[in-house]
Amino acid sequence: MDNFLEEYSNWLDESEEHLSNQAIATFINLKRLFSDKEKQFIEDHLNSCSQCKSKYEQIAAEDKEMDKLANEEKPVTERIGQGKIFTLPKVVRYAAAAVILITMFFAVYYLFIKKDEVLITEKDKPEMIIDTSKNLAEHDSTGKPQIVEPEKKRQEKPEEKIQPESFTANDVLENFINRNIRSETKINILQPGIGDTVSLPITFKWNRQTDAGYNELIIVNNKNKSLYQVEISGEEITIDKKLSEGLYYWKILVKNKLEAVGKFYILQ
Amino acid sequence: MNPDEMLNIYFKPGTKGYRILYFYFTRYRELFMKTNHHQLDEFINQIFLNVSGIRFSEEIKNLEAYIIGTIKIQCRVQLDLAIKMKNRKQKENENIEKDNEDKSVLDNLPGKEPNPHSKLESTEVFSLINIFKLSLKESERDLFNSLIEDVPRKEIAEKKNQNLNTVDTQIRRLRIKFFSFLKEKGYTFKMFSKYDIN
Repeated sequence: MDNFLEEYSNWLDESEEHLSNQAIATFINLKRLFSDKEKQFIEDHLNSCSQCKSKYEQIAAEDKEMDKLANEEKPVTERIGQGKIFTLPKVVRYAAAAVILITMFFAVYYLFIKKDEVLITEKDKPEMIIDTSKNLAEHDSTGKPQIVEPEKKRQEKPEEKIQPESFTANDVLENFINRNIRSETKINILQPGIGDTVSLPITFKWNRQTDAGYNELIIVNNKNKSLYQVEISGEEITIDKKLSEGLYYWKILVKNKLEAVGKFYILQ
Repeated sequence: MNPDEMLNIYFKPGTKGYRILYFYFTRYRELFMKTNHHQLDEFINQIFLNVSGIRFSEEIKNLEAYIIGTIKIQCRVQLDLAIKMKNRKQKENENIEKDNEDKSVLDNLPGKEPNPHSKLESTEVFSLINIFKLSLKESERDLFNSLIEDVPRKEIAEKKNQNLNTVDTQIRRLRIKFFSFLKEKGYTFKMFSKYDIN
């Protein structure tokens, strides 16, 4: 071996051979292991030979490119050490995947459900209606009808306390109303309209075609019991009499003759 | 590191070593396919055999850097071989044209591998020696480098504060190690006939 290395050493001193690709690659990658003589040999040659210098530059650039490419992803050795999840048993991995999928499903469901949509339960069903014709204001921007509470329920929520008898129509007086409307008597009822719900004080308005002299306005309940009576001269009067909830009729008498009948509701 | 471990960590798809080999083969695909490696797998297998044959010293701290470095060197070893084969084929083709047609067709077929008895070029020996150093302990490497530097044995012994006989024994062991390395790598003495190896 001594002779072999001696020969090799002489070659390093004297050689003018061009450097092979592997010799240059060895110089780039294993420089730390080199003897001073070997380092000197390569460096001297690269300084004196432009052909080998350019080859060296090409190989060095190629090495950099390879390193960049190789480091784009972490090598398997590092992944195995860090990503402990990949070493878990299959069953655990599948279970984890299933949990993730279910969580994602619910997340998507709650993210995309309409916020103003109301969930209708069986219990709620009879009390809710979808008003597609009248409640235009209740339509959303896309024109889709929204679920609304019925108007009656919205306005008459305290109805639970109302006595049903006080709202029962009086057939006799109802006949008068109908006759009044149909026959166009001398006195026409203007306000409140037939069946309007009013609140106190109540303003009554009417008009008359002829001056009929002494007139009287009487407010009666649905049992035709007189509750208020006042003499009227013009075509309007405001009355602030306390009335409980119920159906009321108002009559206009001309010379003690019933000429017009109207009705209204009082709700608290 | 045993060869199986090395295969899994540096030569399986997705590993750093594999990406380097894939890049290199793709870059010189045309040359490799016409000469010594028709497929990527063949190329990777050859380099794996070359690298896994090196008994990396346990004293090496950054083993990965040296393995990757060796893979890169082996890529260039294959490139040099491919260039050699290409040149030889061209020469053979020129000779075929000159030769008379009586020559057997079999004689003109190019060998797939370079002639195992062809003499090593000195720059190949340069790479080989430095790859051998990867299997040496630091003290052995220093001794080996001293021999390359032509440092007299006596001087080495003084520097190491050892007697001459000890240094001679170490040199003898190094010699055995070096020859067995060459043998494992498949080199024959004929290939080193230029050097007095005995």
